[in-house]
Amino acid sequence: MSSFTIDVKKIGEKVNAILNGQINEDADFSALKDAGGDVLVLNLKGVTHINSCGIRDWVEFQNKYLEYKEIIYQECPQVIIEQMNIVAGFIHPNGRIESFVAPYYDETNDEEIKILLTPEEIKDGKAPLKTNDAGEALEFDEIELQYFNFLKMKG
Amino acid sequence: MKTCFSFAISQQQKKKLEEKFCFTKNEEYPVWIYDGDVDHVFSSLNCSIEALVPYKEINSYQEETYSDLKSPIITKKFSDESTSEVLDILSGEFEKIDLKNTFDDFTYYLLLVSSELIRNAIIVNMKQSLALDCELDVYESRDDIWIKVTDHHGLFSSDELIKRIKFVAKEKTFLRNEYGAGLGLYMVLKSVNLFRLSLVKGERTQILVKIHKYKRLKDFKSKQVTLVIERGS
Repeated sequence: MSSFTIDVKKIGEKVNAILNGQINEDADFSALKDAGGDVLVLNLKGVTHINSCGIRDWVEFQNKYLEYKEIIYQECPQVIIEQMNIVAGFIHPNGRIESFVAPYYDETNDEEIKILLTPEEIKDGKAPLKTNDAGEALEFDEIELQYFNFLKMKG
Repeated sequence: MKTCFSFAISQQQKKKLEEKFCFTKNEEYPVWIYDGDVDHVFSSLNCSIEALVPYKEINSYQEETYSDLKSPIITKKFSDESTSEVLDILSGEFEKIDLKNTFDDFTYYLLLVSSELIRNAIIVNMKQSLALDCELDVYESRDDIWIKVTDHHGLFSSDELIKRIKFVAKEKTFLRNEYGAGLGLYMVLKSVNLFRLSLVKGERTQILVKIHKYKRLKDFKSKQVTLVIERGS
């Protein structure tokens, strides 16, 4: 039994879909199949886990059924970014990333902070400067070359 | 006594390999070292596989031993549970582990590794219409977590494993229309420090992985991976 849901709302020619839960071999993507519209917005904020079977099924489903002029990926969590970075085809050929989560580290407070970024903020493959409440610079807590690789891979 | 190999490559060797294999020059140096003669031993300076380098190209390696693991803190049997059920069960079990000095998402990687290994064991047995059972044991030391998955059919093919890992790592995709595409194993390799496959054909397949308890995500992502394949009893 899957703990995965898709909540779909169509406004004009834009389809907004919110994905929640675990993407695995039991995940059902059929709610996206005949949603219609020209543009699909996928909000992935609520995706908590994705396994290899889920990745395969998702990639195949996208290729087979999602015929949109544009597919926008919103609020992609780290678990999704990691797969976008290693699996060709995870991002649809007509897809673009609108926003994604990036990990930072506050050394003063010994705290991890997740910050929502946009691709436009990434210049020359470098994470943008972010600060804590005291104005101190946070450290980007990933390998930039690896983490931002998906920006080169996108469809 | 159990052994595993960890490799270090000097700057000189890096340069030599770089010239030979035309690597892109960057600080994340992706190399896998391949021994085609005896057992296959891989080591990666990061988790991206860009080339397979014959073992003879490497001039030195370091052999280290590790003690037999003590009693597991977690032991579970799995058969036909769904991935969601496996994750639910393991989430509860992993609360027994002391993870207070690890990065926030450390448990996610423990779950990912465990569930992928269990899934792989079940898929291999399913293809042969065998009983879908495997065992998971988790060991904890001060600095590391060890996860062991065992099935008693011994049908796993190390040649298939290597073939699929190579394919996934180079092509950045999976073998379509097949179960056990290799993507799951590649995801595991990206998440562990040591991956040891022990095979006794027709009797037992056992995978043992080690994950260091990293405090920082960045250190986790920078880690070196060693893969060891042992054949025989």
